[in-house]
Amino acid sequence: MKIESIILENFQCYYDSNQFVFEKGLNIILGDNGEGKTKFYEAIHWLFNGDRFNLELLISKKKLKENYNGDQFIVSVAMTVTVDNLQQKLKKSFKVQSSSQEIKTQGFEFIGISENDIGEREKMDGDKLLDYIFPAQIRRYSMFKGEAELDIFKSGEQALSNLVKSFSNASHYDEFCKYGDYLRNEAEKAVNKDVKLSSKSKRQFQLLESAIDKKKNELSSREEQFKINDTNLIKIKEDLKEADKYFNNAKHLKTLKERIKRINESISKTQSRIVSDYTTRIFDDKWILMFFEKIQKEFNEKIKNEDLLRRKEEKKFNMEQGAKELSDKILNKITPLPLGVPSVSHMEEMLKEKICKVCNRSAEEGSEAFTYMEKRLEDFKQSIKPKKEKQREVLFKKNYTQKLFSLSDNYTKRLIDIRKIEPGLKDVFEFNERKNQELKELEKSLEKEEREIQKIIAKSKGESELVNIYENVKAWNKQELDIEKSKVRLESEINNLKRELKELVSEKEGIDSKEAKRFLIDTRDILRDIETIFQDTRELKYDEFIDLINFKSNEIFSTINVDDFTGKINLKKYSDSRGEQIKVELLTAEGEYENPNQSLETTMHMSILFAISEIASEISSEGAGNYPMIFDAPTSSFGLKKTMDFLNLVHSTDKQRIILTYEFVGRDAKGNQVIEEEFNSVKRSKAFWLRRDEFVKEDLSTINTNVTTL
Amino acid sequence: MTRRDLLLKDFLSHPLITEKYKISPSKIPSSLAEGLNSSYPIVKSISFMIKEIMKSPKKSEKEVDKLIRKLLNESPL
Repeated sequence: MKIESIILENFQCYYDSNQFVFEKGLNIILGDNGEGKTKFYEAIHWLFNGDRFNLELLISKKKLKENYNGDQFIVSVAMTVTVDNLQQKLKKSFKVQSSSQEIKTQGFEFIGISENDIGEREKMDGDKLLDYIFPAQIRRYSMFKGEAELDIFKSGEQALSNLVKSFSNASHYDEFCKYGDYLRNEAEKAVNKDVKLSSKSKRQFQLLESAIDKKKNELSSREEQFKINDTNLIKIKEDLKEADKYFNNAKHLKTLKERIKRINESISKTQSRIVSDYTTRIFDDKWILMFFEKIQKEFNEKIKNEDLLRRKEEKKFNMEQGAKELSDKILNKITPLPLGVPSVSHMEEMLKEKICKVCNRSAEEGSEAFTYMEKRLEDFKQSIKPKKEKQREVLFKKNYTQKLFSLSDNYTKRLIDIRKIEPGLKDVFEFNERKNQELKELEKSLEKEEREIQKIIAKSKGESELVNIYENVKAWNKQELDIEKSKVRLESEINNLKRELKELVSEKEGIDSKEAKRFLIDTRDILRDIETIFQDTRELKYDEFIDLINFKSNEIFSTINVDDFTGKINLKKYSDSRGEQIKVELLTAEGEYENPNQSLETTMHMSILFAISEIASEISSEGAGNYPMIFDAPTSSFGLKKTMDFLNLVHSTDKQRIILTYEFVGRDAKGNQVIEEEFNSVKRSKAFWLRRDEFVKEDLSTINTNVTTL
Repeated sequence: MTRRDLLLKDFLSHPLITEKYKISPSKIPSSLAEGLNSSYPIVKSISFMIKEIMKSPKKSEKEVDKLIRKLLNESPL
């Protein structure tokens, strides 16, 4: 089979009709990222597998915009192939009618046009024709997107038998095994039935039969568990192997994250210690008091002066007041005796006797002397009586000066604190500066660690995946250990059950041979042998097929990696709960190469695919045997030199391969896309270059891919 | 050699044929037609099974079982 041409019409970024005419051999489609390579691949995938759903997603936005007036247009993907020199056409299409309100898709169809030996062309169902020219089981080994899809054995259901069914006559042996099993089983039943008819051993036979069934069920259950364990173990080992590639990065990421956490804690601690409320501190609380001492001094001087003045005035006033009071009391300018002299009893005695014994003169009642003595006595009595003190007149009714002094004293005491303001603020500024410096250093370290994280992520998986890997590895290791233990236990149980079963079967067969008819025993034995022959031959053929893939893969592998380390590809058969599987290993002289790099892994899988394709061509009895293969970006991890070697090798196989790649597309000094010179050294049958028209960002209707045949 | 002949050859290459059934290599048929006429019941049975299973439309398991039993019944074991 050869793909002659593919026409994409209004399919996604392919506006109007775009034709690719292919040659036998290597066809390379070049295109930078986003230029339409994957859309081309998806178009073929849709042609082969697409249904009538979500068709509106496949329409060229440019075409859609042009036809908003309601004009109808067609979206289609068509492929023309030749099989045995006869042309076969496949076309999948639908009609689009759009308006500003809605997009209507209708008339979805997949048609095939098949040419017969006499040149007549017949229209037929597209699916039927496709299955005839390019069977589904072959297609699954013919189209690959990216490097990850190249590992066809990874977690595949019945991977081996699918492969054998598609590419090896060994699949016939499966059918024989099925018949062999049925016939042997029927022969066993016939023997059992015959023994049961015999009355001699009937009871013993039934007991044995029941015990055998029980043991078989137990054995089958253990074997099932063993297989499940095996499947889980393989999965865990694969996960661990995958995780191992990134484990160091995951560990490093964890360390970096812990460091970042600590740095962030330090940053937040430092930030919290930086005193940033300068306004409050400077203007509201402290700074305004910086000049207070001077004002306080001036204030103090003023108070002192005022106090001095006050005291002078007060003294003068008091003196004046005192003089006035004294003059009132002084008679004839003579200083009187103090009150109480002479004493009250003397005074009363002198008044009674009407004589002044001080001056020794008579003092008749009513006389001036008598009156004087009476007044003196009265004055004295009055003076010793408790009496309301006479409010003395004062110059200053309020003592403001004293209040001012006490205010000043308070401020003076506070001066000690106030004097600390300036150095305190200086300390704060210096402290802040130091802390800000520390912050800058911390932020620098943070940036460094974050850059390191980005590097790690770029080198491996995403951040969350790396975190998961680190967390999962511990759990997987434990699970692996548990499963290993469980497998050992199950293995021992299985061996015991097999031994017990063998003993029971042997006992039963002893009865069989005594009780059953000879003919039935012989038939059973011969059918047992036939089943064994069928099963062993099947195993042998499967192994031969795997050996063949191994041989061819290694031939291709060593050619692709001519200058590099290769190792040896080894496809190993194993069985798990999903059925027979194939494990791909890369062997070195020291054993399995656990973690090949992506490029080596890709070449390994490509070699296997090419080997399978060669085998498919060899075994095919029809002319369609040489099936094309289509790869979208299969060499992303290769680099330019290796991609060139790889493409030259593919070209040398002379098989039709369509390879889409972003390699060899560069930019000139003006930033325009150019094909790099190295492409001239790449041998190929045909090459195309995909480029988009100038487009307006965020306007999908301006996107259109142009196809240039180089 | 047809596909059926090849299948027969593959099955008869099994060690049981020579070791258990003591069929010498010279007596091992090289074609299905020969196998169908073999005097060895095991060879004849395998040949019959190839003939019936590779036939289009092929016979069911039950039908093939009947045929083989009949064949073995008629052949001296």
